Amino acid sequence: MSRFSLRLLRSSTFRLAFLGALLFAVTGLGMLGVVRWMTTAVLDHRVDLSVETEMTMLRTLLDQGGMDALAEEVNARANSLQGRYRAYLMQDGQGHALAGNLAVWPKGHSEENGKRLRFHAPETSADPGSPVRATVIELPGGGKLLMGRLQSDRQAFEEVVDRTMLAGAALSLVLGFGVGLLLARRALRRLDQINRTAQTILEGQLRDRVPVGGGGDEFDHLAVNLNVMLDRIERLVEAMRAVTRNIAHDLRTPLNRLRNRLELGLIDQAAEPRQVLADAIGDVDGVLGTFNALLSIARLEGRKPRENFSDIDLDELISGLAELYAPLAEDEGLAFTSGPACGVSLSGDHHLLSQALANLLDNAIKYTPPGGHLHLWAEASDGLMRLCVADDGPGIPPDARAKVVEPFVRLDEARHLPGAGLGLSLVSAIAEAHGGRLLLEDAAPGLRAVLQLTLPKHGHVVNSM
Amino acid sequence: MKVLVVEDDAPTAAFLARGLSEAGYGVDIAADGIAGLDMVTAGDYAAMIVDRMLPRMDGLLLVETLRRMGRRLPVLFLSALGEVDERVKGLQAGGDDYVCKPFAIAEVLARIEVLMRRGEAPAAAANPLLTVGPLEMNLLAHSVKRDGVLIALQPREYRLLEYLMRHQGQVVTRAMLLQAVWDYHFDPQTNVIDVHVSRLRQKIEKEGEPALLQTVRGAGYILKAEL
Repeated sequence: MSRFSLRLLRSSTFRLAFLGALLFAVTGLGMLGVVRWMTTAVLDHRVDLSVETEMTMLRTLLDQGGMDALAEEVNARANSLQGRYRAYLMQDGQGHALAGNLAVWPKGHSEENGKRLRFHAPETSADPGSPVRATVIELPGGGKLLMGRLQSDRQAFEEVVDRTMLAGAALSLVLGFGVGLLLARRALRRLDQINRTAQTILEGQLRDRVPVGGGGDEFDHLAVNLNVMLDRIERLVEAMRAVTRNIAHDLRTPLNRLRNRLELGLIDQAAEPRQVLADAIGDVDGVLGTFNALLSIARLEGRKPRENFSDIDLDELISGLAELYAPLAEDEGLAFTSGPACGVSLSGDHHLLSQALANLLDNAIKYTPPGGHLHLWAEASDGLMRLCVADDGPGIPPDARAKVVEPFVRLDEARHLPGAGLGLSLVSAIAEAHGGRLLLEDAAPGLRAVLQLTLPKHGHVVNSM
Repeated sequence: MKVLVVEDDAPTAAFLARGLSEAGYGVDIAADGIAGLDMVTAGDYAAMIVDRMLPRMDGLLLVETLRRMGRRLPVLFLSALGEVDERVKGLQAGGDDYVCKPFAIAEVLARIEVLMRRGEAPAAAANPLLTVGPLEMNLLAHSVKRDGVLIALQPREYRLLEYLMRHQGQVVTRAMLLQAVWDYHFDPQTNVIDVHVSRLRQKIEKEGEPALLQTVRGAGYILKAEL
């Protein structure tokens, strides 16, 4: 027996199917058994009735015509065509046969003090061996008269029912076994596909997915859910790989610069040591800033939902940041406007949202050339809350917009500007912590960075009033 | 003036001790929470710097215990746990301020000095006048004068100047200003604070007048009257 068929027999599907078939067979047998028992009882009763009736007629004849007339009648009946399906025997007091189609008194099972006799038909009858139900009466002079009928129909019925029962039971067991095997094979095949996928994934092939049949059955649901889970795992692993790769790249560069600076300071006699150290601290601060941003993103992704949330007046949030950033924008030669007020408050983390907007404003100020215009505002529509920072700077090409949200990505145009490239991914992580996302839209010209959050139901606002 | 540093990382403790003694403080170092508690209750310290995570007794518990004993000396928490809620936990436990690792020594010095001065002049609250050299701020009238000439300030500039005047002669860092004046607790990537300070400086220092608000390189700003 191969391992697969052994697993088939052990599978729960097979056991269930086979158990079901077994139960079906037993129930069927029981029901047929009851039918058999009741039917034979009815048949026996009918035979008994007709035997009694005939015996009554014979007794009447005996009373009217005496022994000879009875013997004649018995012989006539025994030798008729129907007599082959009857048993007759008339004996005198010494046990000699006087008439009938039985040679000797039959051996059998007697009931009611010998008034009824059950035996099997002799060779001479129409159906040898079939059961006979007979009645016995006493004759004058100590003789006896036996009259019975063969129950060929009963036997045939019993045989048919028995055979049906046997065949039915066998059939349902065989079917149950077969169907169980088929079902189990199907279930095992689907599970094996899932197990194989799990195996290849364990071996490092994260791309593999569980095949989904079109049937929409429970295995498909399982497969779809597993695939969604695998997609997420793959994305996480991919993100982790990217982060590792980028840490290696983006941290190595400033660390290498730091090393060069220190080494140069050591070699160069003319170098001002304090200046070298101050520059070195600047480099280290940059590296630490990158680490802090990474840690913040990791914490945001790992923290409990709605931690530290409070009701935030968006107009206050916007005006506070506008007040903080307007002078800087003006010094950089940018026009800065904010508003109009939207009159909406939402539940969120004040610290995180201001940090996110501050990052967006930092970016806008950094990348918009002098003479440009910055606009900061909040708007609410269709259950969506949008916190927007728009500039008319160079913008981000459409194909690069998704990319810049990933940790460390900096477009080539921006490589010469300071910063670790973590700002937008931090903003994106903050948006996700609020159940929203960061959208980068074309402001034609320039870029519109939007923190799009879903507005909470108005219920709690009403309640609080 | 002695400061107790409770820090288990020896190089960090030595770095702090060096910075503090250069700033003119006496420094003792405790390497774990229990030793720290023993030393601070036995000795006469003007302030203590406590790491959040310490062997034998957690920094939070140390400060809570200290406060339950009724000791009011200023406590500055140091921690690698930089999140805002961690900061809040530190302040709730009885800390007076919170600095995240990695830190610049200037940040620690500026904050510890502010904490110790705060304990020095409790009577100042009753006085509605703050003065720094020729500069005079009337807290009741919300007015600022230099040499008797009224200076018009925006509300935020007023609060910035008030903070600087309350901490005159002390170095205040950009992060301290962003926290105290704007109530933001993040590190700005751009020189957003510098712009506000330089605008304030233009208003309080006219052409040819002696400078009051000075930039301290690598640390922050200091407001003081020229000697």
